[in-house]
Amino acid sequence: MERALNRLPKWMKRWEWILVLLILMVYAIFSQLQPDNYTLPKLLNQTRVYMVDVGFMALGILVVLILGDIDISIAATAALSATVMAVSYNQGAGIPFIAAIALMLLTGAVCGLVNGLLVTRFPELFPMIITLSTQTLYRGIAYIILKDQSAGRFPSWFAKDLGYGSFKLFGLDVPIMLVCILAVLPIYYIWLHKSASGRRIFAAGTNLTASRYSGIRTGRIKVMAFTLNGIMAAVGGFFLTSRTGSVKYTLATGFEMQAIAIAVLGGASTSGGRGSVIGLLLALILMTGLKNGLMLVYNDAFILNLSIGLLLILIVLIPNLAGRLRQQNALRRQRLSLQKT
Amino acid sequence: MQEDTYILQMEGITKIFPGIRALDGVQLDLRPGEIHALIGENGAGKSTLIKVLTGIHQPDAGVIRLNGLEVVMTDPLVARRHGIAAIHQHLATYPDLSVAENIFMGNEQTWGPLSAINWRKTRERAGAIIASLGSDIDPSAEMGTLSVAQQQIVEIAQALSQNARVLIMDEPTAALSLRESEELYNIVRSLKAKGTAIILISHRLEDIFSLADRVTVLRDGRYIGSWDIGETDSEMLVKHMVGRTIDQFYPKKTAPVGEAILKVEGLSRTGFFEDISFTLHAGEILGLTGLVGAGRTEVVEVLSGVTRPDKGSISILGEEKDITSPHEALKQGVSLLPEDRQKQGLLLPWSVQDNITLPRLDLHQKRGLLSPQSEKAAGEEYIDLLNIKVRTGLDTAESLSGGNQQKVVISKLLTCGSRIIIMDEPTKGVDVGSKAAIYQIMCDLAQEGYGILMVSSEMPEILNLCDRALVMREGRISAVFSQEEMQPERLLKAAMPLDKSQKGSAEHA
Amino acid sequence: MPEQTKKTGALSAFFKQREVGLAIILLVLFFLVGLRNPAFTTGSNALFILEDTAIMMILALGMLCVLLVGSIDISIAAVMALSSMTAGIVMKQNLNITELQVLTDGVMSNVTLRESTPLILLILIGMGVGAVCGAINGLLIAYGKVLPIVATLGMQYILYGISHVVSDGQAIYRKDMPDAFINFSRGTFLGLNSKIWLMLAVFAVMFLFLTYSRRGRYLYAVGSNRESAAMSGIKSPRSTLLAHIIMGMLAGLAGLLYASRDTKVTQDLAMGYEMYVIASCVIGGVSVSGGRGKAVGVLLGALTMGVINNALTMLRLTGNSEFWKKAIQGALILSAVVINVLIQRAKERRVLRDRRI
Repeated sequence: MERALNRLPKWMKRWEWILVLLILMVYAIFSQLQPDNYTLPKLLNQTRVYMVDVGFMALGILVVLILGDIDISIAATAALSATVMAVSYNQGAGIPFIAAIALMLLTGAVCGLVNGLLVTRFPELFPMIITLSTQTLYRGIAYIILKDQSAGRFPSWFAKDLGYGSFKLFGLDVPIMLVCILAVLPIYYIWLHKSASGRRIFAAGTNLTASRYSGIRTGRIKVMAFTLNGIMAAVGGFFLTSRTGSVKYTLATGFEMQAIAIAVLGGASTSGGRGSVIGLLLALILMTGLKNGLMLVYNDAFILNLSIGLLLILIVLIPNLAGRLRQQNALRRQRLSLQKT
Repeated sequence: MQEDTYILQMEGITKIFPGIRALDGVQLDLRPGEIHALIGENGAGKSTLIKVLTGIHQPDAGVIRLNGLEVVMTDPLVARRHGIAAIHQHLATYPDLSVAENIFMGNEQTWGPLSAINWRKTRERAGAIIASLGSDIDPSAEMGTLSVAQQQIVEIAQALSQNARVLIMDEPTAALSLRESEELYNIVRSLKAKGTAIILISHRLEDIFSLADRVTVLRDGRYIGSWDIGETDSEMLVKHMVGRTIDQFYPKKTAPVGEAILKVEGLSRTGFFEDISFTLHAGEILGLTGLVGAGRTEVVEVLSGVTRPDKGSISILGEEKDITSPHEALKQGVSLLPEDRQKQGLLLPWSVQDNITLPRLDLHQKRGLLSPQSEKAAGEEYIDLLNIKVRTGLDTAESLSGGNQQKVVISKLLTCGSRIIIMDEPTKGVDVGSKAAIYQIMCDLAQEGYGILMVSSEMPEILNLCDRALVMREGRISAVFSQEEMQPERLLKAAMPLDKSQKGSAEHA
Repeated sequence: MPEQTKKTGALSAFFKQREVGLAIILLVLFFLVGLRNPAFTTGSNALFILEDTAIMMILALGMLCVLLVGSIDISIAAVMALSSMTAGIVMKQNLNITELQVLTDGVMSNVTLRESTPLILLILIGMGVGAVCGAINGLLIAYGKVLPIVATLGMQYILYGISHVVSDGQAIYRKDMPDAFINFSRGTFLGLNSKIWLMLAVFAVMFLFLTYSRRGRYLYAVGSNRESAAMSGIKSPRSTLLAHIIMGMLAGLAGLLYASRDTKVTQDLAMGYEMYVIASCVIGGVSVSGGRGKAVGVLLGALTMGVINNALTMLRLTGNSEFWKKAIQGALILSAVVINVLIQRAKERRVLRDRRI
């Protein structure tokens, strides 16, 4: 007898263990290939490069995916928000950095809000084409502002303490960035999986019509999810900038695909109604280990993106094929039993 | 009967899907020029049988013979080539393409060695077929701009374009007004005169008795029997469909009718309904009936906030309210049992428990978080109350039968505690046992002072349960009857559209 | 009497067609810009725009097929890169440079001949690679049931990655190209550039395919109503696969033209081009949900984009207009699809009004 999907069903539990297994495998392989560089302390340090920025973006897109929508403008949102932060801090009167950060978050929120409003007001258009155009628009605006230049000159603590800062824990250097995202994760978990608000999000993703008829304000939820997504994208861009020290309009290229890959790897489905914060964390760790290893071996961003693109397609493809195989087997079994009678 | 007097014979057809035996040794014979009705309750297997006949499904056992020769329908195209055409409940049309292209899709009028499509010939032939049906639809018109009745005529034209010898019609008049239905049936009669055999699936027994020559009944995927229409009557057919005699199982409604709790005035929505006004009282069960397509569900959708009206007012307990969404409706004390429980009422992959608690998650929160114990208790409470057949509250909604699924949706309704309850076809596709339970629930609710607006197409329900009945006809309320005034003929007459022919003037073909 | 109404109906029906409206808007736009800058509305400028947009049009015709079946492909730029890179490597490795001494008008001069694999073979290689990429996309989407946006998003990065690996980080320059290839995009015939002729050829084939062939009409059917297509006996996965293969082939061809025009093949060739192409289609009246769209419309849409681009440069409205192009593209697509929706809603409202009187 099948159990309800959002009650930690068996298949989900199994999936998360598979992720753990994969993490161990990746670690085993790469620590053999690069024994000097692929060590736990070094990996921990590298999480600031590979884990935190895209991790925030993955958290944002997770909610959108659970709703059954998609948003490929998150990287562009990150770029635009970071641009606004850099330019408002550096240009002219130069507002205090805190205000620049606030503006950055606001930009992210507005970008997400625009997406959310368009998606809810024009349900005939799919989120796909809407976010495809806003992606171009947002990056385009960043391009208009920055042109081909980069903006930087942030306060020293930004790069020093946040970007590269860490503190000692059990003899290991734990990046401050990492702590930031780890602190957010439990809040996210409780919200999505244990609160009424989260339950409603899963409901809307499972059956939008029935949820609406049950009194759930689906329009409001969608707008909220996209706005949150925009804010999280901005936060991702924020951490990315702290590490690189400057902003170009091409910031975070490719990150939308990585974020989606992480969320889907963690258990979200493009058709909606499914997703897991724990899964996302495990997927994030897996992805980080993978990216780290690949960069050590190949040192090539193209190859990195190639691998992640391949991974994305495989994680969506394999369950589909497995499902079809299962269906065909079930039918074949029934036909055989029918022939026997 | 000799075999060659039959144009179609289906024998021993069995079809299995994962988990269900949709058809079990079903048979069906068809003579040329015969109108043969195929009836049965929802889920009896009628649609599946038709899908086997038209090649959409392959039978796991059984044979199909056309004019005595055994045939295998490997796919819809093969079935078409054998002269079998079907018009389904959900129209299989291409809204963006022209009428002519719709008619000849898959059967294109080609030209020359490269098989290029000859559009002129396509349009001409399409026009000719449409004219032969007595219609004036423009073959170049875009399909999406036609009305439902017109689209069905195009589908028939499509069947004719393939020289269909067997035409299958699955609930063809479900979305038509009575006038349009009559026109359709005239077309069917003329086809019969030309020798086409027709399989008609319909729930409207009155139509079947006026049109069909023979009738076959299916129940739970099994063949029950076939009779000449003259040898049978509706009571007998219903008995065969259901499997037992219909006992009088309507509970006595004793609740007194109290104050007005819902007042609707001049409600209109362009293209759907016009000038709807009525009042619902506490303790009252008010019926809303009429033919399919009259606009009843549309009215209900406005009342429950799913859509917005263009004109008119809704007043709840004397105060005018603007109901902007289902959420708002629930806040104002109006809840809805939707027509399509699977698409609109339930989250199928979720557990029964989670489905029930969804509208009122706020009742199960402890310090901001959901309490599993509280939800479990609520789930068990309703499972007991409504006698929902499940192992535990954690069973998924999709594993339940229709009747039990409906009970889950009703539980959702009850958790809202709204004074105004709207039920849209509450017993559609529900087994007899669950039907009785649902009727009892309704009476109990009325007893406690709730007001119920029930949309129903089943005459017995209206007659036996309702204090009053509103009849809609083509978007307007044509009549209001009190319990004493209600009679089947009167209700039917009020539902039928006013027709020129009824007033005695000449009919045009 | 019905005859007469049909005749006037035909005329008004012609004008109601979306493509005619678009053509009119395009002409108006063209002349409006000319008011501001007379150099714009010259015949030579018009021809320039046409030539400039020809590659875009070829791609847009391919995208038309993909959109018709209700799919999308944002990996086309990567396909262009990979196919031209593959052809580029082949032509580079087989390059023969010969120095000749030629006597012309009594004067000795040195002529350099650059020859390599025959152009036709290069074209086949390019289109072949494109077709394979398109086939992979099609298989993933039609048979693997992967969402088109996800499949082509992933493929985009995969293909750029392969292009990078295959090229070893090196670009292909003019010195690596045979004359035939360099002249591929430069030849003229009857006063028109080869790109324009190629575009017209592709357009002609596409038009005939979509209007008169069954497989072409099936693309419309699948996009219009997938379930009906199944009932009509049309195999939707096959149509989807076909659409993507066509797109891939045309992307390969376009990639070669692009490389020839720029006399350069880099591993990230044409990055960002896909949005331009989608914008052309959307403006040209192609529905993103499938089932609607015409080849003529697509050409007009591409021309509109070309006119706007050209106008931006010519008008010098905003300093260096290059930077505004991206944002304008995004805004254009958004407005175009939203306007489409609003028009559709208005249509439906009218139908409802006529229903019950």
